[in-house]
Amino acid sequence: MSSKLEARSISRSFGSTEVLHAVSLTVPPSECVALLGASGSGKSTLLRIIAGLDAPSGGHVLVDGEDLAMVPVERRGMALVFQKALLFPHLNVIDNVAFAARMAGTRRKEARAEAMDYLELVHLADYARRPVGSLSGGQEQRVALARALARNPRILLLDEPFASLDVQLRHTMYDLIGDIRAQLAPTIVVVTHDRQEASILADTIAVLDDGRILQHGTVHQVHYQPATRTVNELLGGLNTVPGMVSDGHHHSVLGSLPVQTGATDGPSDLMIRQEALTLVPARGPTSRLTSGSAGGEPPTIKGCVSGLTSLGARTLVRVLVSSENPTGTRHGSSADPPPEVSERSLIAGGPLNLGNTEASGVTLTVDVPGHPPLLSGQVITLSLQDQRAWAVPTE
Amino acid sequence: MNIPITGSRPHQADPHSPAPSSRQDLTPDRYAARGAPGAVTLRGVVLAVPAVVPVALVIGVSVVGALAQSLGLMPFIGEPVLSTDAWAGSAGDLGRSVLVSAYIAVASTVASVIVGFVIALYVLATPRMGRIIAGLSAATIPIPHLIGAGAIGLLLSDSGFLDRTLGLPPAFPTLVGGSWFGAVIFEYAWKESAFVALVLIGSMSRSVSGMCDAAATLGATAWQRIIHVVLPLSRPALAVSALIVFVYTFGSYEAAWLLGPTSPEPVSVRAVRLFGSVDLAARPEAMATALVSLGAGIVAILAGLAMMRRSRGLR
Repeated sequence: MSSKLEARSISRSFGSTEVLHAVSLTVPPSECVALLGASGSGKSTLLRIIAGLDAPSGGHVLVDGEDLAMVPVERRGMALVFQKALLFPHLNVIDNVAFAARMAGTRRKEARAEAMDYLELVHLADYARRPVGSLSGGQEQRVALARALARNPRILLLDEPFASLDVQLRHTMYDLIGDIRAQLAPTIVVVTHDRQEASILADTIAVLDDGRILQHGTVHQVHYQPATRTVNELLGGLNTVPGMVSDGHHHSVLGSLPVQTGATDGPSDLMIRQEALTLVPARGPTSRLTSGSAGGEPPTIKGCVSGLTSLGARTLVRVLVSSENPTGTRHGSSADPPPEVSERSLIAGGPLNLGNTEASGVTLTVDVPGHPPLLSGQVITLSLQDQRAWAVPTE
Repeated sequence: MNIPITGSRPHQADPHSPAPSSRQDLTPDRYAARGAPGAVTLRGVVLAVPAVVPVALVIGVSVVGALAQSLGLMPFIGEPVLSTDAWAGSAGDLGRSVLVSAYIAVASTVASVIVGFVIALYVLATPRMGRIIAGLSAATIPIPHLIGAGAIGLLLSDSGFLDRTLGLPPAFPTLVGGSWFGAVIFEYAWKESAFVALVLIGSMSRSVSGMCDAAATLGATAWQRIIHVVLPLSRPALAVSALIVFVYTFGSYEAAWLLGPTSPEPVSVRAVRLFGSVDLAARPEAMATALVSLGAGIVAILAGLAMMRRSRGLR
């Protein structure tokens, strides 16, 4: 049932506007890839080109090595589930699911018998004879999914199919997709603008922006090792600190932090996921940043609370880290930038349009569980878990 | 989590502070200001009066007047005398006229629906060229049938434009004034197919594209998409527009009068001829004919609505 999908240098222009720029993507058999991007990034256009509903301006779509350029949509062996269920209103539930078999010439009775298997898969066998107008939004999407699966597609394409569902229903659908993957193992390409959805559903995530794939990697890679600052932002990263990389360390208003091996020397943005930062009890020294590598402890950063945003069960704590430490004490020499890169140049020379950078420091956001009893202006200490600082060259 | 507090600040950033409520309850006073359900219904009736009264007045007076005249109760001259002569005396001719009108209406409706569906299909399938066709169709709508009938006469008559430019063979069927009402049906099909197409385009333009995409990804070929998706989706709009076309062409007068043969006459032509006759005694017969035309139209509408209600697509 599953096949390998390749998109090679796919381009698409609408008049003078180019919405896809030589996009290449490979999806191994039985894998699930999420195309993640903001509205207008070109992800749905790419999916429609793969499905054959739109023709590319350049490039090729291959399935198991076969070029599909001359293959019409109905013979590509793919099925697409749209954001709207698009169930046929003149057919009842089972006839919607049996549609593909009927179009293939299967007799009505057999087609309905096959359709019933797929309705059972999506737990809607009891709704077989109902008109589609009597279904709820979630049931409609499940029927749409069953209808697509009944096509026995080589590749299943999902174009934001759960975007209009409520959170609880969405998680039910995620479980359903998991069941389907376990039972049928189809190759899946899912388009979404929801990074959480992409992380739950997909094995790998391809991040699209402005018609280009910025990064294609595992869920962990795109979250904690973003290729660019844009990827970090699209994946919900809230902390970007401008600075300079040299000798495996990023030097910034935060001080000096060890970064990944192979980081390119020069102007760089430091990415620290808000989930990688934790609040720790303050200790005696009031240094701005303490590298804990010598003692085997994670680096810590001091700052003062500048705001709190409740996320329900979690809270985002915004912490202002000044170029001077919050208590007015000069920072320790161990954390100073190298002589050739002054702190002022790091701040003034960096991209000052950054949302979280201020003239006298930087605001870091920390995602903490519960509702910490913090006061605005309170001095707190942050700890960076697992050395998860990641530097990328400044765009 | 143990967070030491090392300083205090004058204000607290508390994420739990309740947001000021913007909700305003519907107090009894506000409810009364809005109005109780009964008051709302009464207001609706009052608002509808300016639209309903003139229509009811015109139709009611017309029907009652026509019925009275057909029964001799409202003679042009002389004393009112109840008589059914206008109905019974020409029942045979009236029946033939009804059949002719029904034939013209059925043929025109079928042709309009088929051509209109094809036009709508083309417009929806080819957005760029379709826009031109949709524009031409829209431009056809406001042309009066009288002008259309005149143009069709100039085009299709024995010495018309088509005959002069193409030199039609003598065996070519007579369209204008022919016994099959060819030119009449052609004129109605030309005008009404544009109407049908615009109704279909308006009703399907938002849904048909997505549905056809879904069907295509499910393996339906272009032809299967037309038969199994577009046609069923268009059925409600097709039924409504077909009903309108049928009723209109059944009772329409100009095209049949200009392009049809002198005999047999459609109901509408017969009614107008008798009404305009120098013999004032024919006036009751004209009214009876007009009422038959009206009755046939009402029967057609009721039958059409009953059929559509039974259809699943219109629920």
